Amino acid sequence: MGSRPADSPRDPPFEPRSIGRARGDVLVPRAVDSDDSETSGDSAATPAVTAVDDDLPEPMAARVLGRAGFGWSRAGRAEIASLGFDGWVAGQLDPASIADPDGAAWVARSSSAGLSAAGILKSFRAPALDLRALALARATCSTRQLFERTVELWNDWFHVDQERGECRVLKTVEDRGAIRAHALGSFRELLGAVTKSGAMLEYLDNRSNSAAAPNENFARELLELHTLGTGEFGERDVREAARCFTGWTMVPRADPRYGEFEFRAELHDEGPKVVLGLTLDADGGVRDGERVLDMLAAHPATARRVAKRFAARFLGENAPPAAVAAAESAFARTGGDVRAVLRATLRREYFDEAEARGSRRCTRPFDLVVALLRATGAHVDDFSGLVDELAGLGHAPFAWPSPDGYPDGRAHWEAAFAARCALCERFFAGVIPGVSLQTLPVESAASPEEFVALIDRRLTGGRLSVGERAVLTRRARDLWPMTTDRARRMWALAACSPGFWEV
Amino acid sequence: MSARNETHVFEKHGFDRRTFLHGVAGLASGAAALTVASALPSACAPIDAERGVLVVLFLRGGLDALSLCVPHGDAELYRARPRLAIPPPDTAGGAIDLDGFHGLAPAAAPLFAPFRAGRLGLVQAVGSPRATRSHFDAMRSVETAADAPLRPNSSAGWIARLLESVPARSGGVLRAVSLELHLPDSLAGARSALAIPDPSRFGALRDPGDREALGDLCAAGRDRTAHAARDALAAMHTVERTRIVARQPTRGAPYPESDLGRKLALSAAWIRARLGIEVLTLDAGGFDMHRDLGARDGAMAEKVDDLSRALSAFERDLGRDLDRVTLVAVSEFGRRVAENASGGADHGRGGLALVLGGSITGGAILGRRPGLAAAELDDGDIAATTDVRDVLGESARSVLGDFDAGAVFPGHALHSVGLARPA
Repeated sequence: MGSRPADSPRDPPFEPRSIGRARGDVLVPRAVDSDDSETSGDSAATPAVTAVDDDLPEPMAARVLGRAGFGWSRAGRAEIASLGFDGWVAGQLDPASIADPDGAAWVARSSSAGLSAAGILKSFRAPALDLRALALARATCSTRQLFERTVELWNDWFHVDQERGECRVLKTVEDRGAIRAHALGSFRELLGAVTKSGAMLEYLDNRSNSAAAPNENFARELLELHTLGTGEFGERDVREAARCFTGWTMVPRADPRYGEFEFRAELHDEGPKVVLGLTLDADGGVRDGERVLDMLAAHPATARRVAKRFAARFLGENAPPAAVAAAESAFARTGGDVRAVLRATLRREYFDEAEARGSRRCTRPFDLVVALLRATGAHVDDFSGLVDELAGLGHAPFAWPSPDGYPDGRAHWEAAFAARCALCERFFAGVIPGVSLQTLPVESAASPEEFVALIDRRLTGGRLSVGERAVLTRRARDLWPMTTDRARRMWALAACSPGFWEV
Repeated sequence: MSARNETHVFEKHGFDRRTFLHGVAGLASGAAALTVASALPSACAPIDAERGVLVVLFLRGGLDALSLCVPHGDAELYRARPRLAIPPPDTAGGAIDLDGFHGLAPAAAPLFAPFRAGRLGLVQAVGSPRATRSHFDAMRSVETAADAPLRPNSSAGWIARLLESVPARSGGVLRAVSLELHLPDSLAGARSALAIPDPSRFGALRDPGDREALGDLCAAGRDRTAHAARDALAAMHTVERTRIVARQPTRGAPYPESDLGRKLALSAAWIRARLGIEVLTLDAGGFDMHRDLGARDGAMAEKVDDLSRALSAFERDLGRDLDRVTLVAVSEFGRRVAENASGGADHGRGGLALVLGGSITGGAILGRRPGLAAAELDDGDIAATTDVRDVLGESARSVLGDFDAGAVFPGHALHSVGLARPA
C-alpha cells in the first residue's frame, strides 16, 4: 500500500469522447456539466450524434442511470442515447478508457486522498470529512458512474466505521488501496486486500488477534458478512478461522509504513486447524489465513450472496430470478471476476423484465442528494454542507455503526420521510452551504402543464407517473402564475414524490 | 492487545448535540391550524392519557454488569478482577450496599434512592435469545427477540409485533417514536412508528396546500411507502400542534449534559405531551470496553455515572407521570468475569437489565444469581439465568396491558421475573 497513491483506474490524458459534448479545457471542479444555454422550450437533451439505440424509453434510461450510476443527468442521457444500452455498459466496465476530469479535479483538491496513513497523521488534516466529501463529489461528478456505484457497493459490503479509533486515518488508505483498487477485479484479491488493510484490522480487532489472546471479532464477520452468510457455518468454524488469522496485524503508528499489513509469526497459532472441512496442518504460517480466504472466495454460498446483492442493487427489490442466477453463475464460472458479474447482471433484457415485475430500487439519502445535484446541475464548491445533511439523515458515508454496513431495504429508510422532504425543501430553497442552484429554467413555461412536464423531464428523466404529474399540475395551477419562490416549492414537491425516490 | 485509545463501539453520531435543556421550544408557537387532507387519518380525536408508555433504552456495546451492580459478597469477584472489582462496602470507594450481598457502584449512587423507593428493579444475568458474543448478532437477536438464525432482510422487530398485538388508542397516529435518526430493528415493520430525533425540526413543506399535494403524491405511490408517508404527514400535523419541550427536573440534580441526558429529557417531554405515544426507543452507546475499563474511576465508571444520573433525573422529571411509564434498559450482553491483560473485559453472556417505573415492583435484585466460580460460568462468562424476553415482556405488560405473548415472542414461553405488581 505504500505512500504512492494507488488510484485505480489511472486517469488517462483528457480526450473528449465522441458524443459532441462541448467542454472547456479548464478543470474547474463543478457538480455536473450544466449547459447554461438551455432554454425552457428545450426537450430532453438532443444528442449531437445520431442515437444508436433510440428505442430506450426515457424512464428506462433514467432507471439505468439511477441504478448503474448515481442519477439521471442530461450528459448521462446523451451518452446512453449515443452508445446504446450495451455500448454504455461496456464502456463503463472499462473506466480507464473514460476521461474523468471533474473526478480527478476533486481528488486533487482533497488533502488526504492520496496520502499514506503516516502521511495523513503528519499532515494533521481531517481525513474523515475529506473522504466523505470526496465520496459525494465522485458520485456526483465522475463520468465513471458504474465504477463509483460498484465502489459504493463494496464499501457497504466490507463496511468499516470510519469513526472507530484509528479507522479515521486508515479508512482513507483502505478505500483507495483495497476497495477502489479491486472493485471491478477479482473478488479474492479484493477480499485479501480488505482483510489485510489497516482499517479492517483495526475495526474488527484482528490486529490484536494472537495465539495467547484470540479475538474472534474479525473471523466471525468474515464468515457472516464478507463471504458465506448466516447459517452456513458454526461457532467452531469461527473459532478455528480466528486461529488462522492470528498474527495478521499491521505496522504500528510510529513507523513510516504505519497501517501496512504485517504478519507476525510469533503471534500466530501454529497448531493444526479445521475450518469448514478444510484441514490445515500445523506450522502453516501466513498460508493458513490465505487458504481460508481462498476457500471462502470460492464457496458457492459466497457466489450466491454476491449475486443477490448485485441483482438487488441494479435491478431492484424484485429482481428477475434469471438475473440472480446469471450473476451467480458468472461469479462461479470466472472464479469471482466482478466485471463478469456486472456484465451478466446489466443486461437490457433483465432491466425490461424487472420493469415488467414492477421492481424498483428505493433510493437512499445519499442517492437522493446526488440525484438532486446531477439532475439540477447545481454548482458545488464545498461538499461538507451536504455531508452534514446526510449525517442528519443517517447516511453519511462510512458512518454506519456496525460491520453490516448501511441497509439496502426500503423499510429502514422509510422512517426518515419527513427529513427527506425537508432536505428537498432546503435544497431548492438554496440554503445548503456550498451548493448554489443555477437558475432553473421554469419561469418561462407557458402553462402549468408545460411547467410540470419540464420539471419531470429535468428532475427525473420522465419517471413521474401519470398520477403524480396530475397532482403536481393541479398544484401548479393553484400557484399560477409562477414566481421564483413558488417555482422552488414546486421543484421541492416534485422531489418528494415516490417517482423521484424510486428508481 | 490493541493499542487503541478509543474504546467505543456503536456510538451513533451525526446529529448535532442540541442543548434542549435550555428551553428550546418544540416548534414555532404560532403555527397556524393546518388543514389536513381528508385522506389523512385524523389527529384530533381525544387521546387516552391514562394508558402507559414503554421506554426501551438499548445500552450498546455490552454494559459491564459487575461495574454497576456489584456482588460484593462473592469472593470470586475479587479473585477474578484484582484491578477492576469495586471494593466492598465500608471501604474507600466501596459499593453502596443494597441487600447484604449486592451493592451499587459509587458511580451509580443516583440510583440508590429510586431503588429504595421501589421504583427501580435490577435484573441480573440477563441473556439475549442467541448466545452469541458478536455485538451485531446479539443486538439483532434482542431486537428481533428471536434465537433462530437471522436473515439479512430480517423479520419484524419485537416492538412492531407488540404494537400489532396491542389495540391502538383512539387517534393513535403516532404510536412509537425513536429518538435516534432511524428506527431501531426492534421497530422494523411497525406502522405509525417514526424516527424523530428533533421534534423542533420535524416537518417539511410548511404551506398547507403543499402538504396536501404531498399527501396526494404519496397516496398515488406504492403501498408501504405510501403508508409510511401518510404516517409521517399525519405526525407532522400532530407534532406541530404540540409543544414538546424538554426541561430540567424541578427538584434534585439535573440531567447530565450528555447525549443520554438530552434524550431522556426529550423522552420525558414526549410523555408529557400526551400524544398517545405508546413506545419510545433510544440508544446509549460506548459500553464496549476491551481495555482500561476503569470500573472504579475510569471509562466505565463515567458511563455508569452518566446512565445513573440520567435515569434518576428522568424519574424525578416525570413526577406523577412515572406511574404510567416503564423504562427498561438492556444491553446485548454483559462482559467477561475475568479482567483481561489490558485492564478491560471482553464480551460476555449474562448481563444486567434495569427497569424503572411506577407500575413495577422495584427495590430488589431480581433473577437467579448464577455465581462467578469457574464451574458456574458459561465458557468464562456469567451464565444467563433470565431470558431478556422475560424482562421485556413484563416491562411491556406493566404499562401497555396484556398482549399476545405467543405472537410477540414466538417460540418462547414467558417466565415471570418478579417485576409485575401483585394483582
